[in-house]
Amino acid sequence: MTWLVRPRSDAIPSTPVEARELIGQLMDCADPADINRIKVWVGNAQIQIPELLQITQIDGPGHELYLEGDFRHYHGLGWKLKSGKIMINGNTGARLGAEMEGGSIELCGDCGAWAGVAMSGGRLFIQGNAGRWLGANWPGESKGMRGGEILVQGDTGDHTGACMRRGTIAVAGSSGFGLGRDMIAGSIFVAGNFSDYPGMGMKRGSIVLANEYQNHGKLLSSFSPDGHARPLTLDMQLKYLAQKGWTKANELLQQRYCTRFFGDNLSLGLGEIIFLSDNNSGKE
Amino acid sequence: MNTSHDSSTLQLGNCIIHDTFAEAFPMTATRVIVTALNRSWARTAANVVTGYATSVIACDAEAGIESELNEDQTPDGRPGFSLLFFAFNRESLEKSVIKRVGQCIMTCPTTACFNGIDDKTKPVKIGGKLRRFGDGFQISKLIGDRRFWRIPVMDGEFVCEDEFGTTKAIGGGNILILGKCQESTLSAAEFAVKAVSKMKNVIMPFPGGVVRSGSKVGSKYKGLIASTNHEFAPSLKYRVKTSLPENANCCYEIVMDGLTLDSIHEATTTSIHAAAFCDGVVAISAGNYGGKLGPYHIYLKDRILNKHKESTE
Repeated sequence: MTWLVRPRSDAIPSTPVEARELIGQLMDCADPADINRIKVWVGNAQIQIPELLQITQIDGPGHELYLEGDFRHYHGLGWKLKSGKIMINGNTGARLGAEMEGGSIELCGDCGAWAGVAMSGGRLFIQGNAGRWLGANWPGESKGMRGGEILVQGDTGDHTGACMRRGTIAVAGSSGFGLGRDMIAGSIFVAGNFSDYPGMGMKRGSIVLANEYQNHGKLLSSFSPDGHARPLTLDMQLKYLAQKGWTKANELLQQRYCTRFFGDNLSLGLGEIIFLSDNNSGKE
Repeated sequence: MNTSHDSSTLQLGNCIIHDTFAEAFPMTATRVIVTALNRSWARTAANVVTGYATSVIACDAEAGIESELNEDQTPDGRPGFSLLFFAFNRESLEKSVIKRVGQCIMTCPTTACFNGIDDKTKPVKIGGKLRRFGDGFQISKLIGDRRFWRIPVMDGEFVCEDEFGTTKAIGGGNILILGKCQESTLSAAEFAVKAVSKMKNVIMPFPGGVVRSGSKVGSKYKGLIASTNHEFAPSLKYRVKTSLPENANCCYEIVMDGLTLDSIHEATTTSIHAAAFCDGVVAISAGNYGGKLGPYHIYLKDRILNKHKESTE
């Protein structure tokens, strides 16, 4: 079944809607009558879906959901998604695609914090901005994102990719403090500006930062210079990201000058931070 | 095309096609894509890694260059070659490819090594084992669903894919080109090799694609599993029961390994038609063991008649 979901204009919730079961239940719905039985928590009350959302069946290949409108109060959309495709035209709340295992979510808008947190597979494509803790770990857990891809065309908040274990995060805009903090492995690309101390405490993994001499973030002194060799896999990753629609990939492919650092030497020290630039003219 | 046949003889031009069959065997194969900074180094790596891989009679694998690849056909956008490796089973294939990639590709300047078989349901681990050469400094990168290992080496990093897909394949397809003299027979064999080398999914693992020491099973000497195919040796023509026609004084074999039976069929047809019309070629035959060893029997007659049928349709 393919469903089109719109918020009812006369029922905009004033309290958060816990929507983490919603997508899965809609995806499994074979009969429109079953939708009336789906309930979500709104604040401390359970409310039937038709009271909040207009859901209509549309033509499509099936196992797809189209969400249109303002879903800022809906948290946990696409939680533990295993397969299928979700297209969202509007903004969403926190935990978009959290713990997703497969399938794809494409968001034409902004999302709140904790998007793609602890995800292990699939693709989360955010056309707008993402909040803090993108692809990071749940509080108290040691591992963040374990696989899959998060592609962001806008900016991301603090702690992007914190404790990341595997997978790829690509940010076309800027990223906040704590980028790749304590990351265990995986790859993070940031095409815009970055805040201080990316990769703080990283064990392994790669952080690729563009426009070396235009960014303002500082690198921790526990990272050591590692030459200018450009990894062969870097271009392969960027070409792959370009194929998947991350628009900045081609721009980064043009930045051929590469400066590498390894660290964090206060941790395992096997991670790498790669700065890209058009040439080495900014080097003193 | 002048194809004539009756119940006993089949001819292509002046060349007699023996009513016999090539006996082929099931094998397991993988495809390795090797790339380098330039075509010259990619070719060096391709030639070295497929060296000493002519026949599983005495080599750990049969291997050869399948095709040249342009920059837009390789995973890393550099020039490369597609190579096929064949062994009797997956275990021996894995052992062989690990050793060969480790000793011949990893050691070759600027090279990288990628899987060329999409189906990874029965993979062999290559980069996943070679990574230990990195002594803990190796880095893994997952791109889509493909894992690559970056192994630090003295000119930078050697990139090798973690797992390579394998597929059931067929080895031992062959034809024998029987000619009037060495020169003309070799020239026909070269022409046939050139024609087959344009095909996908097939390799000819012997030197230049041509075998001069075709073998039979067993020997008068204890413990030797293969010995000279005396029936096709011109120097023994008058001493043993020979399969050489009176006017044939040289024989070259072209052995073909393919990923599918269809590809072996096609390669056999192509090689026969390429060689048969060359000057000095008297007959074309095929090597078999009486049908007792290999389950695939590729009849030359069928190959000719199928081709003739296709061309007349």
